[in-house]
Amino acid sequence: MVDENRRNVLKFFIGSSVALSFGALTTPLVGSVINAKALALKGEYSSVEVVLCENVDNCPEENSVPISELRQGPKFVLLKKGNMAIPAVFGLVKAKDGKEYPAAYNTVCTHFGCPVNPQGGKYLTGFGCPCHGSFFNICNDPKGCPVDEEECAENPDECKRWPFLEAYVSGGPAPRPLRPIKVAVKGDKVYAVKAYI
Amino acid sequence: MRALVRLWELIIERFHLKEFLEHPVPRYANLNPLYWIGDVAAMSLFVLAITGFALALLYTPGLSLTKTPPDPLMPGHHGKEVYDATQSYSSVYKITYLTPLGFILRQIHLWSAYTMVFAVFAHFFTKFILGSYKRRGGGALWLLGVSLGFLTINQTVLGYILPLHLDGILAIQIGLNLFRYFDYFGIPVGQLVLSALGSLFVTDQVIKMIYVLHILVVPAIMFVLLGLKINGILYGGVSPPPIKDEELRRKAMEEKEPFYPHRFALTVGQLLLQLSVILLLVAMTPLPLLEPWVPGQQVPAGVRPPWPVMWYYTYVKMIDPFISVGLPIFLVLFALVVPLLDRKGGVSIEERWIWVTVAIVYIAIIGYGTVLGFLVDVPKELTPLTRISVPPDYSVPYIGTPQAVGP
Repeated sequence: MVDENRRNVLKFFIGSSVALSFGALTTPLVGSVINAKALALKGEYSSVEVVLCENVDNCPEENSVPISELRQGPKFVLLKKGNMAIPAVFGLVKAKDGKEYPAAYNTVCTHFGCPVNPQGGKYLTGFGCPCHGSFFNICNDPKGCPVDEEECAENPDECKRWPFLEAYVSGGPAPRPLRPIKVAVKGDKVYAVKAYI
Repeated sequence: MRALVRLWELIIERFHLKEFLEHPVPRYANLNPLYWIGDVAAMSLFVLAITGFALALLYTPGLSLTKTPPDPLMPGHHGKEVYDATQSYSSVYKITYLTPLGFILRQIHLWSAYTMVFAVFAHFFTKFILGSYKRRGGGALWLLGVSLGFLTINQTVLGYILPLHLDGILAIQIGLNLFRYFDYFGIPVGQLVLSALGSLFVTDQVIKMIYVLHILVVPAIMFVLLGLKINGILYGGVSPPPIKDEELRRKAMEEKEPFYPHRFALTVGQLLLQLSVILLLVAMTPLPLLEPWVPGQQVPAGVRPPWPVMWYYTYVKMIDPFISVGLPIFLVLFALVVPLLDRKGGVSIEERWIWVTVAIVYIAIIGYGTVLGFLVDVPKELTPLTRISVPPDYSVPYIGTPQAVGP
């Protein structure tokens, strides 16, 4: 009797843990086959949103970079909020319309979390991951960059496009664009306002 | 001399050790080195505990930047006065190069860890092929063993992070972001990590947490599990020999000798040999402290993980992340249920050929990935597996309105 009970309890434990782990394992697989967007919660970018400051007037100076410094090249800033640290690279993106746009990105690779290296010289053109070889290009066309070059060559009006300043994946195993950081310009400085981590 | 013998007898008597020390052990297990590999892992754990105690006294976790003197052993250190490095790195630097015997202490710790990982893998494969979960109480022992193996790998990674050298930083970044693939399907792992550690990037708090886990929490669990395992082995005996003939098998199992002094002597000999091999490795191939890294520094391309996780690196790099990320979890979970699936038939290799094949598949997966990781620079898309990509419209536009500056 006692033995029977023990066996049942063990069966319950093992059965439920196998079921749970199997579920946990297959969720990403099944979820990616089914419509992932329908399953996802409202978390934009499948990331955590961190508001660094409510608006540009009360942003701390440590989360800012002077534009004159950005003209020398991309700059790394460890954004701080409480105990939290967010690695960010600020840079100027030279757009196709000839203007310079300040932008910032969370430099944690979306594939496996390695720190990504900024690419390009004075202007920020993209990021490369040293670990597993993912590449992220920053879209520098204000009209958007084609997701599929061939499709856009045939049908330039209706093809899918990456939005302007999106650091989309141009190679390697990363599944999604780099997480962006919202910046605002005040005076001669660029401030980080909101970050996705 | 006589007094020592008396003292020994007194200890045995007063601590009731006679039954434990003289418990019968089958002769085949004493003579066959395949049955000693677990001992190698357990002995390494004790060596690690002793050296780890001394290292924990000298190590200071922290991310604040301190100066490191130039090191003639490191490339590119000529001509500069001092180097910026994190507090963790500086303290490990001090242990390694500025403390008497510190270099050897750290080397013994490292090589014992590698010995332990190697022994754990070898022990797992051996027991899988021998089918030792079929002995009395073998299922529980198997469960304990797989858990201990999992914790061993965890300990290796945690210990690898602590010096906060370049590769350690990469390891912690991967650790913090590994399970975030669940984020895509509404399971907020990112937020969970954030609420537990306070940050998704390495901070003082995170490194302190890892330090405590590495020196206290995980070893404590490991020692408890190891105690349970030794208890289980005393109860169920060592694994039966994989002989099909029942008569022969019974005969082999009945031929027993007491643990003390027969096996005890062998175990001591094995420990001494193991320590000598570790010292030889320390002398012949000392592992230098890897280069420092501070946040924001460029990471050189082509960085590779250490060999215990090289196979994972290979698969993660060449297979779609939505498939390859869960591979180790799958391997561990499947290993856990093996005793429940392999129930019929005897213990011999002929009768269990399916499970021996499964064990060989395990060896092949880990071995192939390890060798490939060392031999070739894995191209980005090596396998024709379907790429499961996140739909482009899932990622919303770059936040904020782009503002042009300057001309």
